[in-house]
Amino acid sequence: MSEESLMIAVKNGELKQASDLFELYSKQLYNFFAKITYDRDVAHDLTQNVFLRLIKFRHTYRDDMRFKPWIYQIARNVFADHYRKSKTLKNDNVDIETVGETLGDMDDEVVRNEQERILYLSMDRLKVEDREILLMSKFQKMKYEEISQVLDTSVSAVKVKVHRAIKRLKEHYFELEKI
Amino acid sequence: MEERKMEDLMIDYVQGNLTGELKDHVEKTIEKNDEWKLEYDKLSSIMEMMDSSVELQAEPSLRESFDAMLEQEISKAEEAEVVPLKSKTAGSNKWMMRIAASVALLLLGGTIGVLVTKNAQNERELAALRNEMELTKQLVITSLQDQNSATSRLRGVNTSMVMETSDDEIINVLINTMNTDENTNVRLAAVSALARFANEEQVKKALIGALETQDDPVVAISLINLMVQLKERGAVESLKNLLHRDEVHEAVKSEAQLGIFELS
Repeated sequence: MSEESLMIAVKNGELKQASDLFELYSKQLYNFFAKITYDRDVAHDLTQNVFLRLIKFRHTYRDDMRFKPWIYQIARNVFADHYRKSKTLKNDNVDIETVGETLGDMDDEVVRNEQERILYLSMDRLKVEDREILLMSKFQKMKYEEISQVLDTSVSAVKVKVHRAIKRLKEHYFELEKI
Repeated sequence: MEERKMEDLMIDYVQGNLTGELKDHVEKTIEKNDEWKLEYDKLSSIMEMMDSSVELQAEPSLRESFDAMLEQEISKAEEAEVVPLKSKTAGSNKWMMRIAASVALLLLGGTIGVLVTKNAQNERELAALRNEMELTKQLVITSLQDQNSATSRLRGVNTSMVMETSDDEIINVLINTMNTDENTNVRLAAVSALARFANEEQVKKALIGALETQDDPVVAISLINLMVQLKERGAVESLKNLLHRDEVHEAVKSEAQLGIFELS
């Protein structure tokens, strides 16, 4: 059964089918949230929240929609609400001397060497929209077309955004590498 | 310029998105130019790290809490389900059908009669309604122009809310109020009143324009939230401009940043 058929079944009242959708998407959504917030507890709660919304707002799913962009749209909204509540907007002008900081929960399990540590610290210094688009395109390996559906924009606009984010990431990376 | 173009080509190349002449061009540049070779090596290593990043495993409690939530939602759905009533008399009943048809005909005839006599009455009611709308409009305009009383102006804005259709004159006065009224509450109310007609080009333009001119943080934040609610991407440039202005309150910048994220 395709993801879309599962979701249509959920929409039509077969809520148990949501269990299969959870199986398919919980891990990638958890990783998306963990790598954007650097907090595994928050990632746990936000992932749970996505599936709660999926069920609560199941009637808003249109039968002609692709499921993946739809669930990522929910994930973005969940993250935006969390962001607003926590008011932890990242400052772009982080003092370079604070490079010794830890990466929260990410340190032990994700960072395998110094290069990866610099990569995640560089990601942390990006604006949230840059970090988000890199997470979708590189870490989650989503196609530009899928991302364009999530962001409700054109494929060419996504390409511009991805390139811009990579350039900024690269700048931060090289800057941190020199220290 | 050339360098920036090459930088983009390099990103495409590393991601495997180039073919043909462009691919050859990038490969030759990497081969001949040490600086670009270094750039390519570094970019590749960053991309490689992103491609092969560690996948985190969620705690088993995530699955457990999902299952509990799902059970709860299934129970709620079952409770809410209404069992449809089934007719006790199966099959058709000709007599019943005939009686029903007669009643329907009688009702139809009666309705036509009532409609004819009501037509004239409707005309009179419509005229009265038009008159009432005109009076409301005048009341709104007069109240909004009362420079001596913020309460009166606020009442004027609130009265405008009862008008279901847009009116150019009212909209112009509301835009003027949003932009120039000295009282924050009145400006805030004007934003809410205008939001109802935000699909109209003139109103949309005025709301976006106000983003950069409102100096009160409460009004500015309310405008930003409205833009997000309306999914108005045309506001992104104005939001970005707010981020670069020193005099803009930090809370407004913070909301603008979030707005950019949600609209991008």
